[in-house]
Amino acid sequence: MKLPLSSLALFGLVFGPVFFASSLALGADGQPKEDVADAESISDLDLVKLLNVEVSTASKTSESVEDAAAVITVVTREDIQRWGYQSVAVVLSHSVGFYLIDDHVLPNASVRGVSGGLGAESGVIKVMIDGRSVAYRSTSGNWLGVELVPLQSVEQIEIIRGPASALYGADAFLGVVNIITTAPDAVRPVRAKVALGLTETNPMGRFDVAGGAQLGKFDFMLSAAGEYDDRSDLELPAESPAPTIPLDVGTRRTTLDLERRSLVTSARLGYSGQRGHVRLSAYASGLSRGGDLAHWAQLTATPDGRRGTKVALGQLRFNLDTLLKATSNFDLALQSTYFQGGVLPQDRVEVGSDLFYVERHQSYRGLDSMLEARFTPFSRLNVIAGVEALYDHELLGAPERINRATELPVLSGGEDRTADLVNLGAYASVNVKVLDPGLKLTGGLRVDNHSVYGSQLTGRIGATTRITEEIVAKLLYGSAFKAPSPYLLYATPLRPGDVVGNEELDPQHVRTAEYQMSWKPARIFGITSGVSYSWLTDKAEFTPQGINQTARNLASQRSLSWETRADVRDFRYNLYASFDLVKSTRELGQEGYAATLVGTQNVVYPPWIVRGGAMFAIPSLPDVPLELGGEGMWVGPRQASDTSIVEAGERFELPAYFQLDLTLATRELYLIPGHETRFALRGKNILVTRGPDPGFSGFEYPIQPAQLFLEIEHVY
Amino acid sequence: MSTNLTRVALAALALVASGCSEEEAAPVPEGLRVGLLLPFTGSASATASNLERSALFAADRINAGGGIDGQPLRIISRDTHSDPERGVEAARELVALGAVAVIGPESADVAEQVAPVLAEENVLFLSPFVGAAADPSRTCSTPWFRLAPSAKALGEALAKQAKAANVPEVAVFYSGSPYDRALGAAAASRFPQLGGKVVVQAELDPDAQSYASEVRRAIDAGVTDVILAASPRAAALVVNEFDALSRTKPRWFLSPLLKTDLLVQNVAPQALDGALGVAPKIDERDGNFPKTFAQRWLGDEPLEGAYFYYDATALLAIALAKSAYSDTKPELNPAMLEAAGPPGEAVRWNELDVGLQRLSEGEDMYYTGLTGPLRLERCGGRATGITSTWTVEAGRIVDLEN
Repeated sequence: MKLPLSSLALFGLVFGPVFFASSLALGADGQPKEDVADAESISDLDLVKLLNVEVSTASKTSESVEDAAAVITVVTREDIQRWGYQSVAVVLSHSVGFYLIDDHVLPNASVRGVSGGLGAESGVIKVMIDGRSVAYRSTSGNWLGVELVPLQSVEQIEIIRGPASALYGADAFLGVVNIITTAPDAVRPVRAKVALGLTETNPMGRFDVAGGAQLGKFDFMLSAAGEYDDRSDLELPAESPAPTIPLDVGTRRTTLDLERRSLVTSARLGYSGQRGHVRLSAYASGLSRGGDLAHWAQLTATPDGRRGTKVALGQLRFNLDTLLKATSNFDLALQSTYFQGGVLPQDRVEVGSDLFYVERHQSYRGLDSMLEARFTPFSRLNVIAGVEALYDHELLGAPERINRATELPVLSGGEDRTADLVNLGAYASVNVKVLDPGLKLTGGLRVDNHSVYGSQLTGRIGATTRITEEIVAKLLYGSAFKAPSPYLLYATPLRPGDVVGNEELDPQHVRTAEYQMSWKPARIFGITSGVSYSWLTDKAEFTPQGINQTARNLASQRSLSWETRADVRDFRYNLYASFDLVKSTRELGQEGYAATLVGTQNVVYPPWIVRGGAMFAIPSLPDVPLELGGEGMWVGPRQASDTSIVEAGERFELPAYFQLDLTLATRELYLIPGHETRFALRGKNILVTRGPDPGFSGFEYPIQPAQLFLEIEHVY
Repeated sequence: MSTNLTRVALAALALVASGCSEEEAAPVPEGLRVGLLLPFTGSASATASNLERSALFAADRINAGGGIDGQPLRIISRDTHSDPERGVEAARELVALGAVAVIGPESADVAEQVAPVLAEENVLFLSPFVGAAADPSRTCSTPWFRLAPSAKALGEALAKQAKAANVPEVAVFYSGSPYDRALGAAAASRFPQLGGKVVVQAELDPDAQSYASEVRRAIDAGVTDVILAASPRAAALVVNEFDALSRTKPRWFLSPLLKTDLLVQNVAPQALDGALGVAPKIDERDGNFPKTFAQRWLGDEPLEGAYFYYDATALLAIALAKSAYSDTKPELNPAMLEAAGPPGEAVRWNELDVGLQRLSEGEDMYYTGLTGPLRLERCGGRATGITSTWTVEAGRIVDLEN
């Protein structure tokens, strides 16, 4: 009884202002737009969506997920709500074909046996919001935490496994994650969620809100999300062979500062008419992370808080998006984005010195513009062609050593340098339904020319066929490239042992063949299974450059994966199970002791991952219907990273682990007629599993700590 | 139907899972096995990969000439982890793998522990660059071959260099490794004999993350000139911390191990300008060796020690060939002395294939190295090794005319 009362009190505190604002928006009569009878329940929506999920990422046109010429997973807003996903990182960690290593600064996504390695920051995939990359350009990394996007503004997340450079250019390498935001009028007019709880013994809190409306031909949406979390007190895993720890730490192996702050805001203003639309949007994102597990040196924070690495980064984007419907079958789209980002003033890196710490000075700004024509001469044929120009001005400031005593830079300073990077791309894509709905063929080609690494040609072909009403098969082949990031090209070591840039670094390439079959024999059941074979060439690996390391295009990798997922959904339950099996081998392209020791077996990526989830309606009071469920993930033993193996002097595996999340939540609770309120008590990693996950700098990462929090979500 | 599907699924599962089984350790290749003992990890790990590449490069050229007596020369590398105990363990492993000789280990303290183990096993021990703190003895039961001047000789040369630069007072910093300690101690002992004064003498823990207290001591003593003998990592920390504390940039006198871009790369661009250093002299300066080395290793250039590792491998190959082809079949240790100097015809670094061929045809040959004539004394010391000097200009290492 205590829980509902306290929850209601909290509910009133949090949503009182929201109700007030919304009532103003609704007008004098105060009537909600919909009543209880009109409101669609989540379960109803789920079933409908299961049967008819539309996606747009695979071909830049709206199509059913079955027709899309890509191996694609769709995570809907309802999925996010049901399972309590707090961020896109969590979504991906539960997605088949992905394995995330959280280094407690920025999670690093690996796909189908391939990991980006040290500092990759999920750069092996392209993450977009409404079709636009939101990468942090200096590292080509993607932020996947709360700072990426307010999830309340998200309609669905389309996750493509496989290369997509033929449509999206550089870095759509092993996959694409396209976050589709919801239409402003669909937020009704405000959705909000707050969560308060504990990360083991430390407090945590999170908010996520989106509001918007359509006013005639105009619409607007504002959204924001933020998080405070503190993962401090995690232990450095005992498996770590050679962490870099200041001597004065002694025998302590507990982290003191893994505090996390994230904030993202976005605003959008649009005009829609019969001939098209114009939208202006702005996006700002920032993060701050305590760096006790940063790769430069570990456990550097002191109890008095005067020392310790802080990673603080920010980025800003302004977008213009126009669509002109020139004729009934010809559209012209123009998109342009101004972007800028860089290291924030709070950023500081401890390198183990008693006398100084290091301040980084890196920033970027630039413009990314695209003109695209979409031609549909017949209902069975569409052609998309476009050109894209990207200009990126990188300021690579020399890192400054700051004297602790004076807080002033020390005597010797380096020289700042800049790099102007330009990429021009042109692409064309054709989709033709040879037999409607029996057979659809897709082909595409793209050429990019970059001022540093020259021309790159990528392509894709695919066939999707409905063998029967229930069975769909896809056969796909594509190529992609991963561009060297400015960081890998020009990095200056912050400490002995750090990364040194390699201006000769070339793009990495991948070619992938995939076959997938889906079988949906009933409204409530579906199963999808697919195999893929990827061949990476020119793979960049960090190699010794004296006491430092630098990336070189030395290696190749072949990866065979088999991914299967089955879903069962009905009004009262929701179940899924999936497994990934991966066999991957590498040719390091190196000789000598280290290469012989690490061998050709794949490192870091688990050979198998099994995932499952179940959510059931449970017996409860009629006015407070409840559901109970959870998600589990069983990750197979992973060979440690090359660095850890060399440091240990022998190959070793990190043990398999099982991670479990549990949820007890209300369902279809309408405290206010027509507006659903959802209370959820969620436990993440409730078995307090520690992993660890493989690290790349001589130590391993403990997995995310356990969390217990109360979440309140309301749609008004 | 469902049974069939299940069978297919299980078969596929087994197929993929079978590929996930643990990989076997790489087999040790057949041939004449030469152990390479280097610090690939730990505090002294800066240069190991580059030195290994040099030995492998030499082995390539040896094998291009058909190897030795029809057998390829195989380099088997093991890691000392910069630790004497683990170094001995690695040396024993190399012996167990059938190594006829061990080259390394770039650390005097490891070398001193390893030498008796190898002597007991009758395995030749050859230290190309950093191997011994003290001068080689004149009497011995088993030779320990060394191609570079001793740490003591280099330390004294560094003291002379400082004095020649009219330095009245210095601080002497050296790491706790026996090589650096011997070099630093020799410099600290020689400098006052030359009329100078050592105002601070400090030993650095090679594993420390900071040397703040030592640096403060030097600055408080008004030091403007520093003799430094440490690993590139430790030296970079010292230079950076001097930057952090001192208003004026000190002048550095650097040990041979610091003649590397690794140090320059990890300090502020102008921090080392004007520094002076000593190093074992390298004769081959026409650029061919670094050029071909870089071609072989994707642009990686040979460090100072790489010249010595090439010479060590090449000299050992000539000795092995002399032992194999001679009618008297001398033991390997005496064959090393024969391979290092006249009589016979000289084989240069890039003539190994031809030289080995001619040796197999009965001609008398000896090896003359990238680092000059290698003539060795009976207990393994080099009779002819001399030092050279170098400086840092605009962030680049430049050899000075000697």
